[in-house]
Amino acid sequence: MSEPKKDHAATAVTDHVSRPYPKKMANTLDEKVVFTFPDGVPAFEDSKHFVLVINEKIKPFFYLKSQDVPGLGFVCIDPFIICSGYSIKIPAKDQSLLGLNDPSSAFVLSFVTVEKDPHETTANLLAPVVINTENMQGRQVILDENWPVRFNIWHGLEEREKQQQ
Amino acid sequence: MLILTRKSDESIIIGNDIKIKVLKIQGNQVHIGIDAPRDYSIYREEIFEQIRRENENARSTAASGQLEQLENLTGLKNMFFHTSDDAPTAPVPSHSQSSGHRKPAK
Repeated sequence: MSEPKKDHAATAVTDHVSRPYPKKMANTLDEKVVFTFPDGVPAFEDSKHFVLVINEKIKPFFYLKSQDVPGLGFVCIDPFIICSGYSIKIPAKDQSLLGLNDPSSAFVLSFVTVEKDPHETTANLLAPVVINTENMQGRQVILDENWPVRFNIWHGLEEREKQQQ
Repeated sequence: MLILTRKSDESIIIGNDIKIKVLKIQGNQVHIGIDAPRDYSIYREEIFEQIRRENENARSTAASGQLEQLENLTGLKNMFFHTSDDAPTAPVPSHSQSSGHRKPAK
């Protein structure tokens, strides 16, 4: 993906986010950083503050922990590393709500549904969480594109393996 | 629930800011136009419900201690680190994945 274009307003709506990490990733991975979700996430609208919890043992998965609702948290993964060809267009409304002028400031992550059989573990590619690393605001964005709600991570990785051979 | 009957081209106004218009009726499909302030999210109900349900699924698995199951996923983890640029803590040079959309089969 080329340099972020200067004319953000014109390109923001059409720019796809297709690379894993925004330039400000270093700040974002700090567990002291609190992300503000003004609308929470669907089903958990009361949880308006989250922090990242990085646990070396579960890398590349990480945990998004609620600061408002005890015991609430989500296992997450960067969707771009599990699905080659994943490329999203953040709807204009969500960009506006996040104050996201520069798509390269978007930190995108997917909630993971862990199943008893790890090979059945899935990630939600239809509704990624998008965090604007400029203002640390986040929301779960329901995409207009036809990505699956339950994307099988194991199959995604196998597919990637094949493509890299 | 308030129930109103509308014909094509007729509208409903909610509050000061929201207008819902019946654009066209075709068989059992209604084409609906919505005018609402920029900061209102508008979704088809079944999509929103699907996301709610999946969040609830995702949450309960995280809470029930299945993090341990992830720790044991050596096979899965090895696959992740097979490629050189997958270390999550290092800044990743931007690379193009944009051969257009590739939508996986559902």
